[in-house]
Amino acid sequence: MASTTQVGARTSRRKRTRMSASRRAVAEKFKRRMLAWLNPVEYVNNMYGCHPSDGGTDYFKAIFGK
Amino acid sequence: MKHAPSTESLFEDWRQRVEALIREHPLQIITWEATRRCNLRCIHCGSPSEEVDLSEELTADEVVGAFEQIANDFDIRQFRHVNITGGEPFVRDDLLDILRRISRMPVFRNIDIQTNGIILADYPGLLDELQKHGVTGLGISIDGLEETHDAFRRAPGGFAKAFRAAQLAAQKGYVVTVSVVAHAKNVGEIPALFALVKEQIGPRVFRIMTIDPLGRAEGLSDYLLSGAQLRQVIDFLREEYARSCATYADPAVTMVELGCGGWMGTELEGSIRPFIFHCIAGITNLGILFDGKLASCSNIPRDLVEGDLRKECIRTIWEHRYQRYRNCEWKQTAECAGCGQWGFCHGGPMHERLPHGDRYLCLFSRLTKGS
Repeated sequence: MASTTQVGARTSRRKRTRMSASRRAVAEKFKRRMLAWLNPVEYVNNMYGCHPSDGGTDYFKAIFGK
Repeated sequence: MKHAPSTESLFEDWRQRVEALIREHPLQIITWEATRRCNLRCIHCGSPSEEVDLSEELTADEVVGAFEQIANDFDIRQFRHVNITGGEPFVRDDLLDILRRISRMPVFRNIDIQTNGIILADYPGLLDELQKHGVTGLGISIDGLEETHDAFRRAPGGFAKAFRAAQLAAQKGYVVTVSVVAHAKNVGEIPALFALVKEQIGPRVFRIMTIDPLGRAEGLSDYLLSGAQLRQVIDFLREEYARSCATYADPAVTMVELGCGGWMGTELEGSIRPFIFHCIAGITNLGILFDGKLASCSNIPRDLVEGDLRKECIRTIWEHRYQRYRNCEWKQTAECAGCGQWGFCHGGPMHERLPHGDRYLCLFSRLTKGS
C-alpha cells in the first residue's frame, strides 16, 4: 500500500493561537497516547455506544488519565 | 538519553498498525440494519424505506441464525460489539425476542441501538427490558433545538420525545450518545444545543455528523454545509474538546466528537474527537442489511453489497469479498490521487464514494482548500 503521507498539514492557525498553551499541551499529550494505543481503531469500533475495555484496560482512563 | 518519539513517528507507527489491521481484517463489530421501516420521514434520511422492498426483511429466526453462524465460524476473540441501526429498530415487534436470543451468546455481550427515541419515550419500560438483553448503549438523534428538530424530522413533538428518551436512558445507566446531523439550517444552534443536552441529559457523547447528500438528502443543496459552516462546526468541536478533554476519564463527563466524517488531517485528528479516525467498514465492521445482504456498514450505497447471507456462508463472503475495502489503490482517483494524506485515510469512508471510485465528499479537502 502506498505510504504517501504528509504530517502536519495546517488547518487553523487562527485557532491555534487563540487556544492556551497549557490546553494545547494537555491535548497533545492525549493525542500521543491515542496514537500509541495498540488497536488503532479501538474507539471507532466502539463509537456507537458501548466503549468496553480492551484487554482489561479502560481506554478513557489510559488516554485521558493524569 | 532516550527521547520521546516525535509525533511524526507516532503517526507512522499508527499508520502501519492500520495497514496491518486491514490485511488481517478481524471481525470486531457487526452493524445490523434491523429494518428499513420507520415511524418518521426525516428530510435527510440516508436509508429511506421508499428505495427498498420491505417484504424482504429478515425474519427473527434468520437474524438469530446469522448471529449463531458468526459466533461459530469466526475467530471472535477480538470481537467488540453489535450496533443496531435502521430505519427505526424499535418498530420491529420482535426486537426484544431477537435481543434475548442473541445476547445468550456470550460474545455478543455489548449491544447498542441507534434510535429516534419516539418509541422509547412512549414506552419507557422498554429501557428495563433492554438492559436484560445485553443492550448497554443507546444513540439518540437530536438534530437541533425544538423547532428545528421537529421540522427537520417532520415530527411535531419529536424533540420532546427524543430528549425525554435520552434523559431516561442516561438515568438508567446506559452509555448514551446524542447525535446531531449538522446542516446549513441548524449549524448556528449547535453550541446552544450542546449546552442544553449536556446540562439536562448528560450523555457520554455529543456527536456531530455532517449531512451527506445521500438518500432523501440527495439534491437538498440548501441543507449542505458551506466551507465556512464546516469551519464553524470544526472550531466548535476543537474549542470544546480542548476545554474539557482533561476530564474525559470521568464517565459522567460529556465528550464531543466528529462522527464518521472521514480523516481530518494530522493536526486535527485527536483534537476534535477523543480518537484518531480511520473508517472500519469491511476491515473490522461487517454490515448486515435488513434483507440479509452483506455490506460493510449500513450507510454504504446498495450497489456496494458484497453478498447475501440467504445464499452464502457469511465467513466465506467476509474472507473473500470486501476487496475494495482492503486493497484501496482503486480509490486513488481525482483529488485523492497524489494527496499527501492518502497513507492515513486510504481514500476515506466508502459512504463518501461512488462505486467507480470517485469521491464526492472529503471534509479534509473542503476544510483545507475551502471548497
